Amino acid sequence: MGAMVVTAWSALRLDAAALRRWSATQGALAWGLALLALASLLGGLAGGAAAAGACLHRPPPGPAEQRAVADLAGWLSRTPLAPDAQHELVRTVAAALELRGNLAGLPRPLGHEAGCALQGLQLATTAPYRRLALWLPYTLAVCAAARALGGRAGPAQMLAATSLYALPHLLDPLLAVPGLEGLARPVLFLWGAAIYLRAWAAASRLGGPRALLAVALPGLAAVTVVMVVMAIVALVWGLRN
Amino acid sequence: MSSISALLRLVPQALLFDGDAYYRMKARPRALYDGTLLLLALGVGLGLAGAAGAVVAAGAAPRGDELARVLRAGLARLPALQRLSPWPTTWLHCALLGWLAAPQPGLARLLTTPLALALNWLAYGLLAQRAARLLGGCGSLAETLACTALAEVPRVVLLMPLVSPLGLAAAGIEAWVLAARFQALRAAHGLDGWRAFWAAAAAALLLGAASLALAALQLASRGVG
Repeated sequence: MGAMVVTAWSALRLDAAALRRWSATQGALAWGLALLALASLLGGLAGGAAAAGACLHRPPPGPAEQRAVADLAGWLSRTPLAPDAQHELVRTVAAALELRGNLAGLPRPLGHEAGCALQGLQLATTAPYRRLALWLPYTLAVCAAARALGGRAGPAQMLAATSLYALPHLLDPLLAVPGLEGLARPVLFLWGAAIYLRAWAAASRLGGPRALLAVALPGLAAVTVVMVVMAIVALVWGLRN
Repeated sequence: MSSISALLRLVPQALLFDGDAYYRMKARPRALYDGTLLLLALGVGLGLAGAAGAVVAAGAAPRGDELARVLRAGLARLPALQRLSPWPTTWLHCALLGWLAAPQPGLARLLTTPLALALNWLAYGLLAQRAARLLGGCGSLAETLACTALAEVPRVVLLMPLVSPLGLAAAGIEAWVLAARFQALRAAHGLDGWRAFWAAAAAALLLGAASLALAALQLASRGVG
């Protein structure tokens, strides 16, 4: 436990040597997974409580939705979009907001209060899975890219090292404090990303440019696939209309 | 008894990407029997957790038929959807509303979850065996199935009863299982890293394509219905 605290402090200060030692430690991945789960649960509980509160005290649909639609219409009028398209977009958003309000107002089997509380709890308990869904596939893809580029570190070692990116996210409950979210969210994200990159470079022992390339490759591949799919959809859409 | 405890000791090792766990699994005297037992226990546990999750979700959300009624009325008023050609929207509409109005009952998951897990494991094992053999692997089908049964253990993290359907958030667990299957094929067939990677990926892609085709057929039959 003491070693974990020392490592955490070193990771927060982006100490490469400590990160390399940590990734080679027996049981480092188990600690890393526990850290990820804890950070996600803390943020998830705060987010779940906020969501349950919003569900309980949601104002009846009306003025807020009308204001959002009017704002959108005002913003669209300053774009080069054709008036017909603008009108259709505004009508679609108005109908979608109305639908959202109608869905939120439906009765729940256990009552409104219990339903909202359970919904908040579900949001909190799924938080670790959401974090895992981003971190694990991406890091495994980075591991494969690193292997292709000549890296020799195993997946357990790389996962253990990069899991420390969750350390700043132990402060995620701060995001629920009104007024702090705007500042805290980018700071925590960038701090976590810096730890991820530093830990990766330290544990993989690839040279700087190749380590950076390995981290960037899966992201670039994902963006390329999304763009190709979007282009195909747009092409098919254009041909059909 | 000691045999079962030795088997259970492989679970945390497999969870933490220890490739030696699969060599130990392969070396067990009744590896396929043990793998099947492990898989069934996992399936029953997941079924119980899924049933509990479904009961909680049913209490938290509005009733499915009410949701379907409001959604049907609301979606019909969306101008952007009205402009789309009818066939994809009709299919999606029918599938979504049919699923909302008649969700799978919680208790049914006690049976369907272990069954789906076992079918998925068998289908993947058969495809992976073929792919690994084509790539020069030398393991038997029993060894492949025993090792890939152990590779399913990352799903134990789903044994949390309050979790609602994960959707895209399940990608992490699937990636974890895929990485474990890569290690399993490496051990079962004595393949080098890249050959094991391609065998694991090819079998997963084939199984994914088959699942998508089945889902599309089901969607089409609902759309026609």
